[in-house]
Amino acid sequence: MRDRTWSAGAYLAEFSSPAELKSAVRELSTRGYTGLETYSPVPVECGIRRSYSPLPVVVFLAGLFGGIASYAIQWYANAYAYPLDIGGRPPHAVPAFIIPTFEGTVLCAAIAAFIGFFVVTRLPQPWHPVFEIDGFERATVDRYWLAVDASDRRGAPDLTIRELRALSPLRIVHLEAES
Amino acid sequence: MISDVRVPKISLIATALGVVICLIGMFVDPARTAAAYLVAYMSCLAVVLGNLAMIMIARTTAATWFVALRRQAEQVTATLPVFAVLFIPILVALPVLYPWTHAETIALPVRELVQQKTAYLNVPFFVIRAIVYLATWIILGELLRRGSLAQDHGDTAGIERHMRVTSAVGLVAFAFTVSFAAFDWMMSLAPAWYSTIYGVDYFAGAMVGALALLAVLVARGRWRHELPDSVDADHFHSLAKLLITFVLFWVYIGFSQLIVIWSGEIPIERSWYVVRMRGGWELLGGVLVAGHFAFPFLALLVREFKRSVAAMAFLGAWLLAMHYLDVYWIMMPDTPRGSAIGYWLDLGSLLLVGGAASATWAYRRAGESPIADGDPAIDASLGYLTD
Repeated sequence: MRDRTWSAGAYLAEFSSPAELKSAVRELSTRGYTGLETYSPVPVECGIRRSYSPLPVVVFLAGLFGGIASYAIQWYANAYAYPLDIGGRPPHAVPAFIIPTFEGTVLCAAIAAFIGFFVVTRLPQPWHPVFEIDGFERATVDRYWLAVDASDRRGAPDLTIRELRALSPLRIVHLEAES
Repeated sequence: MISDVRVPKISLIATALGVVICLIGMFVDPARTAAAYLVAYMSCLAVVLGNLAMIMIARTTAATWFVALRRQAEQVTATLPVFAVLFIPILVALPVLYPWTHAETIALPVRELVQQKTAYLNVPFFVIRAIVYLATWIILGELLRRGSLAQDHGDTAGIERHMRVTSAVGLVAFAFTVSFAAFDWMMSLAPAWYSTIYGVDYFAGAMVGALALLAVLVARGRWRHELPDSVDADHFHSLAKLLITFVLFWVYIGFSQLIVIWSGEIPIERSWYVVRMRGGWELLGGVLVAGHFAFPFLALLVREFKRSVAAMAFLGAWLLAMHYLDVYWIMMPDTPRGSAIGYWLDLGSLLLVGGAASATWAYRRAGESPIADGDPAIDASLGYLTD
């Protein structure tokens, strides 16, 4: 699957400490950058505004669908199409219908959550642009990386590179847009 | 000394007003008054007991997030002694409340069922059990409160371990006493009927009420600047997550009882629901499904709702009202009814019990730190983050 991140390329800067990464994010955020991403071996609270996944809404709607569908199929089979007298109870037996309705809700919500997770995270993802950078694997050991989407609204490449350089990172890498 | 302690006037006025209404009720309609009082007592007691359970669960599991809120819960359980005093009117009203106190006057065939239970359901044993339940809760509440207050003045490590052992043992004692108290004081209103899950149902409602009250109290503490600003959205988020758990637990237990009895279709078992599915009680049942389950469940799915102090305070107040209606629906259909001033008696009883409890709460918390300063985990708790 082709990766859609950074369709216009990206600029990456490598830092050696979480404090530097933090102040770099703060600096660029106040300058109006929005397309920021960080990579670090330990959690670093950088104050990047989190983007929320659409998954909760999808799971909720799937659960709602599962519940309504489960109830409807029971009503159709037991109360409408083929009503049966079971122990003198009404064909439209609400208490008995609730249990499969609950199960149907959970089933659909769980399946939607499972499949939706892979769609939203675009996993499995065997390749990512950052893998092209030599030494990037140290982001899992002792290096802290900051990435700026080249399509960020401040856009102008020279400006971005100049402002990244002002943060005095170990190095700056430019990932070209894929053709 | 007394002049230093400020008990809010509104608590005292409410108590006095409640006493007047209940006294009038005693002459107009003693049976209905006793029923209204018992419902008010059991619903308020549940909220306090839920807080006691919450403290013991948090101590036993060493829950970090709850340490910052624990003092608020401990101050609620400080009202337990007054519930022992408030139980005396119930003892006086035993003959008008509980049919088993005069089993020989019950109509056959129910009389035979009840008479077989008199080895358990008789006045002396009932009183002894009531003393055991109330004593257990007061002792647990006071031990946990005293330990926590002692931690404010140092020697934290030794107390910490003592509190955990007390809580672990206390939870077992709590489970039995609460379950049997629900059997004795509530379920025996319909002495021929029984449900083994009944005590758990009462406990489920108690936990919802307790967490709802905590949301209100913590929000109050924030707005009055009694609590530090670091008791924030993350604590409300955790409280809300536990609240949605117990909202689900409440509906799960209630439905379990219904489905078992509905499927079994045994006359003596179904009688309880037959009464509650007609005469307006089915409407109150519908209100509970919507207001005690559906609305809080959907609201608590929303992240921003859980993290909002105002929203959680509102939901807390809402669920406290729902909790009262829940206990009302469980108990009231099995009590003598039909008084023209019935709802006034309900209101008066609630004012009496709620007023006396809130006055005790204000009296005993005066001068105490609103957070458990001395707990070894207090810093971690104040800095608690959740998502």
